[in-house]
Amino acid sequence: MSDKVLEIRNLNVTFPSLERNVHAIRNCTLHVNRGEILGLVGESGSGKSVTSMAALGLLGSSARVKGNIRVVGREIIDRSEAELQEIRGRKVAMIFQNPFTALNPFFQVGRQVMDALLNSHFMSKEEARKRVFQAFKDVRLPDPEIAFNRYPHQMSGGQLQRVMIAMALVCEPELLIADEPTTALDVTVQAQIILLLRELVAKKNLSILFITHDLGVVAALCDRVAVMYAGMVVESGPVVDVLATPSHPYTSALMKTVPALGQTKDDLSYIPGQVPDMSVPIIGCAFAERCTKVSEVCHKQAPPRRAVLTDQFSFCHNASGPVALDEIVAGGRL
Amino acid sequence: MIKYVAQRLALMIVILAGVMVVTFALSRVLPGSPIEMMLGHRPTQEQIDLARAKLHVDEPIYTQFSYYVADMVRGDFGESLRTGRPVLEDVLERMTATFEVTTLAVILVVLVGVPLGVLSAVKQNHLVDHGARSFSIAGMALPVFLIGMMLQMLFYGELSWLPLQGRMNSEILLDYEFPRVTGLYLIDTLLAGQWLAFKSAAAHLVLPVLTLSIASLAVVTRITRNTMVEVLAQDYILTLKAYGMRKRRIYFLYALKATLIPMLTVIGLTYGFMLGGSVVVEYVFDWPGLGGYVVGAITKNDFPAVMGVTLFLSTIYLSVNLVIDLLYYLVDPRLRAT
Repeated sequence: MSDKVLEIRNLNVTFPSLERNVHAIRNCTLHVNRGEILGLVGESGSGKSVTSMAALGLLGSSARVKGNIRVVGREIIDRSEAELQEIRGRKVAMIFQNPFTALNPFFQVGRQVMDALLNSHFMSKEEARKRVFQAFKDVRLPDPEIAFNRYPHQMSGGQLQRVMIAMALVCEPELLIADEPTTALDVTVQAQIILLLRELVAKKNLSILFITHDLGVVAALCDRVAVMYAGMVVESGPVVDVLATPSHPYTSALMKTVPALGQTKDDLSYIPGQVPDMSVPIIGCAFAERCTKVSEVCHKQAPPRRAVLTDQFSFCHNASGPVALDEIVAGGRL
Repeated sequence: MIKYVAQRLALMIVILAGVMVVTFALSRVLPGSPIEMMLGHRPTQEQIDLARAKLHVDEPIYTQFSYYVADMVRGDFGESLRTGRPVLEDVLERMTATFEVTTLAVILVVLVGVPLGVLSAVKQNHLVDHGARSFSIAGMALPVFLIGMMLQMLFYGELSWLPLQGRMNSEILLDYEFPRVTGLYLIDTLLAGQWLAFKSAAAHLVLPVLTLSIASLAVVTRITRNTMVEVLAQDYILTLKAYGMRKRRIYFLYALKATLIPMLTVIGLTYGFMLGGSVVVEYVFDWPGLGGYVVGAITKNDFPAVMGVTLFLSTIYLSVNLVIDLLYYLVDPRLRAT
């Protein structure tokens, strides 16, 4: 087995309903190498969160999931609830967008973290309590003993997110899925949390799938980036390469929308049009309707995957570079 | 904590004072003369004068009110014009009968309604959920007297498993003496070691308790289901699932505690309401409870009894609410913070 903690291949997720089937994820393929932080970016509705939920097998019985998802070598799709509970917490942990709602308001935060630990690891309560204190120290919560007995309403957003990170760490997972963990926080707190995550990756041999719509955060934190549009990854590669030489028009468009200091209101850029209706089949390139470089072929034929640089891939007809072969896929390039 | 309790207690006293004013006012405004009721037909002038003096009816209204309040505070609810006994004594005797049925009914409602509600929330739109929902709607739609009579027809008429009515078989009541320590037959018979009498008391309780609980059961199941559905959609439930927590622990520990506040409210209100006595259930099962007593007092213009019962019930209702408020305080840490 290669050293990938998360490997998603040809993932398709459909939410069937009476009137229409929403095809939320279309042939999504991505992976996270051990010890790296992969940033998964895209605008709202592009399928980032659905992908992360699928990775934990949390989509619920109404979703139809096809493809392969491997977490630390273990297949997730079509596993029983009992098998999934083995993997959750122990192999992969998750932190969420809104720390204010992610913790139960009726229980002390320390108790909740301890319960998550006791659920995934066999140990005495005393030992568990010690480890929770240590984890609180690791995430720089002041006064771990006091924090342990606090209720969520007595803490700030930044503190709560630290508690969530502590909950993830204490279970010693190999993969951490962070679903927009800084979106609900102040910018200064956001910077602290990002620094903390960076440090923890280095110290704990952790790998992170970091979901965000903020390219600035990606630049500051991630090693590689995967750009998602309409349920599929349209471009991926090392952050330096992708941000310096984006090969997909959607990536370029996203980068233009990042506001810079000193910009006036009139300079604010956005991508015209909207994400395609996911309940109808898409012919050709999903981004064609909004693309500035669109040509005739874009409406007719789905673009192949091209290797624009050694480790940078793009699904665009205009991208230069050889079409990536399936053998390469099997060899573990993307 | 002390401040919270003090606040609730102060509020309770204010409400009770209000109740006293209203009951007093009503007793002076409503038609019908208590004197006539007390003395029967054709009393002598002497008797009338005596009664008027006893009831203070010739004095100014505010003096009458102050007498009334003073009596109430001392726990003197006056004498029933109908039975000639102290109202408090009558009420307490009837109350224990009502209390026994009601408490058992509420316990049954909680033991069955809460798990059923959780189950149908978890199995949303599956068979269990539909079953529980049909049962809820039926329970709410069927009149209580009909449920009671159907149960009687089945368990007494067809099967002869359970007695028809009353609190105890009259022969057993005569043959086996037991002191009325608490007024609750189940407990008194046990204390006296009268096993046969205990069995008879228990058998007599089954149908009234069932009848009384069915309507409330429907409400509690419904409320539990709906709050549970809401709670299960919360982010913190997703967190638990993402950490591989077992379902049963999620539902019955983490989710259930979050549903306690609305559930305590419903259960408390139901209990307080039922403690007033269910006239219908008491009539169907010939149960000597408070409901029948109140109806009798109202139709016979028995003012001291009506006023006494009103004040007594208000106190009980407010006490139940006070207990619920204290439980809120224990359950929800956010209340404790302020």
